[in-house]
Amino acid sequence: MKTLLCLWLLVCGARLALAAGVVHVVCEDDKQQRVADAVAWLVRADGVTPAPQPPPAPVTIQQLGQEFDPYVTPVQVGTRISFPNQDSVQHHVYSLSKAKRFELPLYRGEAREAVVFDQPGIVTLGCNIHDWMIAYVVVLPTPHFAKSGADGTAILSNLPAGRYTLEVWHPRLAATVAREIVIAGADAAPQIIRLTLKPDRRIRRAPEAGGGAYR
Amino acid sequence: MALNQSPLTPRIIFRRLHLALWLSLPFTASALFAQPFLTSGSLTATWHDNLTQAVAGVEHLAATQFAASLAAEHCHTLNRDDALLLGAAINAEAWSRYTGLDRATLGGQLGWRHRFGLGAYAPTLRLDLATAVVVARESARTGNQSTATLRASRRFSPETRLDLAADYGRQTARDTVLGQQRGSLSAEVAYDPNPQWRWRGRVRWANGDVLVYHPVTWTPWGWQHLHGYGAGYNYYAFPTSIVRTFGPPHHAHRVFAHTWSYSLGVSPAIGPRTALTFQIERAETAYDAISYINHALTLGVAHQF
Repeated sequence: MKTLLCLWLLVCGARLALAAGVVHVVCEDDKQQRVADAVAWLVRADGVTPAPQPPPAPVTIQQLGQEFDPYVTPVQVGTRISFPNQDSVQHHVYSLSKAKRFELPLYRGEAREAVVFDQPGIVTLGCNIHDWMIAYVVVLPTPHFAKSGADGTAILSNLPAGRYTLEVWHPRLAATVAREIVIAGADAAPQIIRLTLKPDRRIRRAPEAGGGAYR
Repeated sequence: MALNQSPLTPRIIFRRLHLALWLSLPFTASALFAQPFLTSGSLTATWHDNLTQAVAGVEHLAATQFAASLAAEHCHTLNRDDALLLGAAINAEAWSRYTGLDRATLGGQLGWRHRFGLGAYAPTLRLDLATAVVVARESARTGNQSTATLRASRRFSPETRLDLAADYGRQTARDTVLGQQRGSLSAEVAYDPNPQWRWRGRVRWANGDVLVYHPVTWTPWGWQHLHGYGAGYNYYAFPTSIVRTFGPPHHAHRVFAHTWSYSLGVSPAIGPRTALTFQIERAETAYDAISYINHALTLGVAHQF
């Protein structure tokens, strides 16, 4: 009888451990409009967060139509990112952010080599020729992350049960929003995150009569 | 010197269209084959309240200037901070009432840009040398123009940019009285509260030649100012010519004056490559003890291809 009880407990524990939790993080602004390009990630609050596992192939941020695409790219620490230029004009990609300082001098087509993002933090990308071009790389020390789509939802899956700190970042947030959540099984309640966004402060791109193409 | 306007015969129209077609080929090729030229165009309409630069209201003549321009610019980077800029532009201007002022220009531009550091907030110094051929409907105004501009720019935030500029321009004309030389200093602040809107304020001080016009009538003692304005001032100390740009004969005096001008503009973007422009400008020009005021209102649209 004692052996059976132990076996039952073991099975239950294993099932709980294997139950891959899913969290739907719904990002809304103050007017309850869904917010795209928000990055949500989870860090274990009751244990050790698994080490980042950067993908073997580089992630791509392209330059197309004199804009970066995508606008926001979340990656794990150690990820390589390549910056192919699909435009007919040259670009000069750079970052002055503490988490990664680099520059790719003027080029067209494929950049010479991928850039390794080896420190966690927010990296702001720009083009030294076209001032309006801007993009963000969110370098994370966790494999549990997702970016919200047009419906404002970021889906984090394959989450072992436990307590986590959920953090959300967006380019128009003054500071990261954080809350503690518990993953107990496969069906966790959606996390609705209210974001107070600052006005859009991107450098204006539209031309002006009499203004040169390169200021 | 009496001036005639060229009659627009079908032969002349055909020749101009032919010329326009050839001139537009580089721009078309640039757009079609996606060469690293950035091509932009603009259409503007500007209402001027005092074309004659007259002191007295009775001598003010107002008209609207319609302008179309197409420009292509190529950026050749020398190193991280320096770039050479090569450009070409074609402009056409048509006036609502005084067609003698209609003109077209075709020109090129060579520039050097230095950025003191990396990124959008690094101060920028830019030197441009531009030259153009001017073809005017009133043949006496046909000539060449050349400009040198030195501009220092600094962006302080995503919303705010300051431009300080000094320029010197020279325009020749077949009637030498109608040629001008002028230099100016200007400061401009652009404020973009968001990526859709831009407000611009500019103060400019210019010093150099200005053409002022007075209606004249023939008397036994020669051409005399019709309204007597300026009779107490020796305009004939300045180079003077007779023009019929405004219908009745006018004296064109090329005086040396300085001008303070103030402009305020707003530009809503209607897309990432297209924007509208509204601008109001007031200019106060003075030479010796004489001064006059000009106002100009501009509506326009600019597009980057």
